[in-house]
Amino acid sequence: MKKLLIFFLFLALILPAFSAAATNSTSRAFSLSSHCHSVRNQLKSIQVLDSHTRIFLGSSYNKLSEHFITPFNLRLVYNNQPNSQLFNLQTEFVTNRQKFNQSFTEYSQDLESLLSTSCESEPNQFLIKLDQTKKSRENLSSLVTTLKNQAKKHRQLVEEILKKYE
Amino acid sequence: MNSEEDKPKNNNLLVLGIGVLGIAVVFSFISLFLYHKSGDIYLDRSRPGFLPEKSTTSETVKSYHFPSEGKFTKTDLEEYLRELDKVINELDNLERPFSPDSLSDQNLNIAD
Repeated sequence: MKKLLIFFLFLALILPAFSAAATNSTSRAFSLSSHCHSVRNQLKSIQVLDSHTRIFLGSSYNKLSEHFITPFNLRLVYNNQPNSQLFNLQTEFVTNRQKFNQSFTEYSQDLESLLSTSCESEPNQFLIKLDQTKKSRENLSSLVTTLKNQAKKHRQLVEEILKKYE
Repeated sequence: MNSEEDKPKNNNLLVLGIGVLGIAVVFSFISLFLYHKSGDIYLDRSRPGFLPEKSTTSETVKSYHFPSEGKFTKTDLEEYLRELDKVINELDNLERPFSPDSLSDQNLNIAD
């Protein structure tokens, strides 16, 4: 009897949460179906803008790595002043740049898969793919922030070296 | 008599033609698969509508390249930081790249 009571109590606690989630999902799917055309157009615009951003960021990261960070560290070695912090930062920057390339490919594949799903006939499937695309975009966004912070950290360490010459 | 002798030759030619087409189709599929799988398709600027605006391509620090040899001088380091600042400022000026907000339900107008 006690076990049955506990079970019903558990059900009473858990059912409203499931019900709320189901209602929310249904309302999202309904809202999506009614705005399907504009959602698709918006996603296509985002896809084009993202492509431009990727090219710009890719060329900036390449410039930072090839024209600044790597030759700077080589020059430190040339002058017998290797700096472990700067070397570690270079390794991390290169690794994160590769992760950024990989993440962008994954995100683009998710976005393309989303765009190839019909939001009119398969709204629930579309929403699942949308949530997946959001996750991969968040991952990409955090890598962009990390890479920018690493470039700033490199600048800060170089500034400390400059102070020794003043 | 001659036309009967020509028949196997014609057949060989047909088989050769179909074979060549088959190989071309298979290799085209393989290259398209690799083009897609490697992610190069997403970086291809030649796709319609995907050409970057001139304003998004940076020209400001194109010529600068820090020499990897030579003694460190104060002037070198100052110039290095000046040029580095240009790249960092360009990154800072980019308004929230790949911001998760772009795909939010509110932005896509599918929120409750």
